[in-house]
Amino acid sequence: MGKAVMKKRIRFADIIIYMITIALALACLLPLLNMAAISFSNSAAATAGRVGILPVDFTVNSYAKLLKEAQYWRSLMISFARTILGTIINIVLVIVMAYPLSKSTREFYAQKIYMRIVLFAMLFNGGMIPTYLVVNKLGLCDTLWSLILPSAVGVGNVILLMNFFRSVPKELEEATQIDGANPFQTLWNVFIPMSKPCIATIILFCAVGHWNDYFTGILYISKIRNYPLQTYIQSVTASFDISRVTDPKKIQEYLTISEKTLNAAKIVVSTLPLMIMYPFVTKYFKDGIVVGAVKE
Amino acid sequence: MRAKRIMALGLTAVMLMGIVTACGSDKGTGKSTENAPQAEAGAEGDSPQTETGEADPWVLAATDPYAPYPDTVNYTIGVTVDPSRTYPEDWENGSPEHSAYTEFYKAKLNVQNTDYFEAADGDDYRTKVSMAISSGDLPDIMAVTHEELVALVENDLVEDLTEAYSNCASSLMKEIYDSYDGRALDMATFDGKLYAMPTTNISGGPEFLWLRKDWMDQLGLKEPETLEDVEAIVTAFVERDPGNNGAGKTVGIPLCTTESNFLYGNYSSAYKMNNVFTMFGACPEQWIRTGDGSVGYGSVQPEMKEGLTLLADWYAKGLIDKEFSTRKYAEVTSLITDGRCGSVFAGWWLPYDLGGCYELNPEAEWVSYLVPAGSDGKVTTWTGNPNQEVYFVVRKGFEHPELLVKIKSLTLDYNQGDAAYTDDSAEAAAYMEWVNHGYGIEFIGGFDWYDAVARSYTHIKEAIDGTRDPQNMTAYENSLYESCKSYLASVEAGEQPEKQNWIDYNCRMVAAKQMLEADVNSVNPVFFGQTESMGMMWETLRTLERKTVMQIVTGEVPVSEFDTFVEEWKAAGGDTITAEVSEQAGN
Amino acid sequence: MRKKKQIYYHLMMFPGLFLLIIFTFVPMFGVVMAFQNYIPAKGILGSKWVGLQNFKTIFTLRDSRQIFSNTIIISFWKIFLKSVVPVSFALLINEVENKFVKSSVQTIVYLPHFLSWVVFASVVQMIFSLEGPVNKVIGSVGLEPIMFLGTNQWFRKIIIFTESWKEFGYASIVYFAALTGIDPGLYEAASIDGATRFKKLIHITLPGILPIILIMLTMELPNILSAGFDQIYNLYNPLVYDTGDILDTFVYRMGMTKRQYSIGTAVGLIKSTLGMILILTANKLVTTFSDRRMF
Repeated sequence: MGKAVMKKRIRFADIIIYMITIALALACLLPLLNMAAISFSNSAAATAGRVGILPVDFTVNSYAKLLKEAQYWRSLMISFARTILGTIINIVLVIVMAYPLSKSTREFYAQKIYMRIVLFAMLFNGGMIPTYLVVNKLGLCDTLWSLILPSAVGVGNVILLMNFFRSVPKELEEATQIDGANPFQTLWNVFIPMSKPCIATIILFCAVGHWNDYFTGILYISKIRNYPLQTYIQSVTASFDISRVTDPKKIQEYLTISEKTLNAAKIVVSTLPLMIMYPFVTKYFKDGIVVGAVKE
Repeated sequence: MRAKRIMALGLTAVMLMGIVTACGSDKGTGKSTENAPQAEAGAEGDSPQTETGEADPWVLAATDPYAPYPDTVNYTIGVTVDPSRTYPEDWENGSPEHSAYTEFYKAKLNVQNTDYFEAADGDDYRTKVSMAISSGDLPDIMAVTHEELVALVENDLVEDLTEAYSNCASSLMKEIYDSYDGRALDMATFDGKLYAMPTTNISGGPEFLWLRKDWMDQLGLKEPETLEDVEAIVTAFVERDPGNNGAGKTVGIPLCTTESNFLYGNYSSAYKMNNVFTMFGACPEQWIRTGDGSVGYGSVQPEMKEGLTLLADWYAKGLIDKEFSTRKYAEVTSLITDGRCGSVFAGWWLPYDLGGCYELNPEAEWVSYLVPAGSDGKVTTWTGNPNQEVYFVVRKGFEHPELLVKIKSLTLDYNQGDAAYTDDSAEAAAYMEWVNHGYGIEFIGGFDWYDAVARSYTHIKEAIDGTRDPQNMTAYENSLYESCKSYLASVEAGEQPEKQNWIDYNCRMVAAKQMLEADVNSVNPVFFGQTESMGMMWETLRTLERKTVMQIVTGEVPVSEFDTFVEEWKAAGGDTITAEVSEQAGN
Repeated sequence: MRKKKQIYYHLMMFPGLFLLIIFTFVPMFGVVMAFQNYIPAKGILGSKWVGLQNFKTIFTLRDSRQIFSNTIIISFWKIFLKSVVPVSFALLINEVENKFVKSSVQTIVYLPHFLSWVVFASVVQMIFSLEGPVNKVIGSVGLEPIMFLGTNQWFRKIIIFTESWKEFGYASIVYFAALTGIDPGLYEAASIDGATRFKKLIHITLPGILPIILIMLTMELPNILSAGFDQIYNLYNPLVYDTGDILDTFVYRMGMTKRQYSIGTAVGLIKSTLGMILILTANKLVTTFSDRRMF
């Protein structure tokens, strides 16, 4: 009898849970659906603000136009290169820094001083101009490296992973050390497998950061043909703020190129790679549970 | 420091020598300045045709607008680009750095560019310029703002272009600058020396009230003249819903309030209500001479209060868009396109924003009226800044400062002059093809006569009437002429004209005519620059002003709050800045 | 052996530290701009020194109290919701058993993060406009429509709510990861003891991810003076300056007349200093009340 009541209650709770999660998902889908609908709509209808979450006068014109825009695809490739290379560098640095920092001062006497340096670097920076001067002096401007190296060390991620490392049971580490493994081997064989979900998350954070960042591109890249994708999209859509233009002659020029539907298509296509990436990352979340079970 | 000064002295000496020799050869080549550009000379590149035959080709190149350099001169440049522009398919490796424009300069003047940086116009480009200036690593040529120009001149980082301008500016360039009565170049002149080639701002003309004539006819309304007429028409639009939008859905007068596009202020952009303020004698956001002859800020003058009283009244009556506080420019355009609004204030170029409306409801007929008239039966406007925030400068130490003037002269001759029709070289043809099809942007930036819109109207009208050869106008005007002709042909054939033709005709033939014939009172603001104290204090004052104005209009505070605002404004630094402006404008 | 380990540790720190020195510490000389009237054409060496003038300007502006309090109130609530909402969501989704629903919802909620505020703002404006769906609902129950983005009573709430809407999915990812670290054995043991679902949540799940919640919260603290420039810039207007104008938007507007690098640097310095105080205090608190330390 008691059991039956409990079962019923659980089912009721489940309905509520499903309803809430699905409602939240719909709320989050809305803005992107709106963008997608605009990109598939007739341009005049889009300008009139008539497009909600369904396209008006369905057309693939903007996508046909986008296919012809060589710079968009070149920028897309640059963004891929930057994201892959940048994320690899990010994650390697995060891992190798997080490991010694996760040690207590007893195990690593300089932990405290390094931690202070790293924290200080997280909070303070020289600002846009001095950083530019350094990047420029090193001759990195207009190269892929200028987009990767200045932000190569993600201090926030180091601290996050460091805390994950600290929760790895001491016994496992000691076991490898008895086998005579050096810290690199311990890191590789014990800590990295144990922290897969966290590392996967950080990889995602870094990749998303690289993919979405547009401002470093504006700052350090001097030729349009070398722009990463988001910088390109930003520079195309930003020049649409018509009210900034003070010359009536220029206003005409901008008005004739303001294509809301084409811009929407650009945005939609640029989010696709990230949508595809996410499930791959969550795959590692399941591994975490398995590892956790081994802990016993 | 001393080394710098010695270098500067040396430079001056070299330049002086240049000038002396220049004077000698100037007489000889003076004539060629008057002639059409020498296409042949340009095409051959390395053998300039000198009439005197004795002048050094380098000296000639440095003193004649059209003479090419004997050897290729390389220069670096920071350019504004439109990143999404596409290049013609047969053009290999098209890029802002390699375009028909750069090829053209190479062919005509033997100069070769390297892009030092490229960025979209606006914040992006300004960031690039700031970084270049900060790092002291300047391109040979770039465009800066007035504020940057002042700092560059003060720190002796840019070349004096006085000589270059007097020698190498084509007569057409001088004519165009002269159409601003010296106001344009004055802003780039310091201690009698010219330091930049400003890109000018053409006259935007007065603001019109654009009304849906089809709605007026449907409701049997007469054309407006006075403020009362305007009120009656907008009331009828809102209350009687001629567009069948549903009760309460029709928007009266839309305004927008972004940082850069407030409900009043300069005449560029649109969706403001300047005419209503000037009707009461107020010139908001302008530095003007007040009744007693002293310099004052337009937004704090007593006349302003009357304008605000009216706006508050109209807002309360529902004649002004209820949601104007949250509208951005594109959203107002949406309202118009959607057929929900039939009354807006804007300049002659509004039809460029009406394209969508024309597509969706071709029956919509927009007519512009110069209203509301003041007590003397005229509308009052003020004149704008003669220049855009675009001043081309040459890096101090660049060997060929005249190069900038020469490129600009060259493009002006083709874009605004008649050289395009007389030159049949391949480069010129490619160049004009690009200009007309909008492949990329001409990075050196063209500029136009002060009365460019009125001029183009006259030219196109005469050509349509058959009294002017269609080639006797600028290439751009010619393309507009073709467009207007197609419009008229379609109308005659009883077809629906194409959107672009409809836009061009309504801007260039209808609104521009009205602009040309408009009899308006004109106020000349006395100051467009910045003063010392503005850097720290101005934003506080502007914040206060805009907040108070919007609170008054929306009825959040009574109109009497305006007096408190003026006092606060003065106390919070307004008086200090007014004194500074007054001093600078007095000179 | 121990000594050798130390060398390994130093070696591991080296590459990251090297990059930090070049790209973060070397440019820190630029902080002097906060004490100058920096003019790009003059450079850092040539610009005039003004002492604490820039800081004085920031703190003595006519509206500076308003601006600081707006900034802190908005970002306090944002930080608060940025922990509460994603954590609740992660816990909620953890209870969903259907794999397909679970993974597709997870993927969808993280999408809004990829839209820039320029784009997202237009959606927000549409939804909260007088004719938008929210006002339709309000109208249907017979209430007066509300101009959410044009009135001071509502503006902040909308800002805080929409930020949460846009970011909660992305912020919850790290909690999904943390949840996987909890030992399933604990749940089994609890089930045997007859614990309810809710009891397990309170006694096992929440304590299990608490360290990560604390870390994430602490790392948000330095942002207390950055209330989200892009969002506010795209949604505010002069009518709501009283509740919506923040430090970053004000400094940005100051720069529209004249580029204000010095003021910008001074603001950055204030933010960093305050951030450091907050983060050290938080760390102290955590170490006092638990046996953990964060740094």
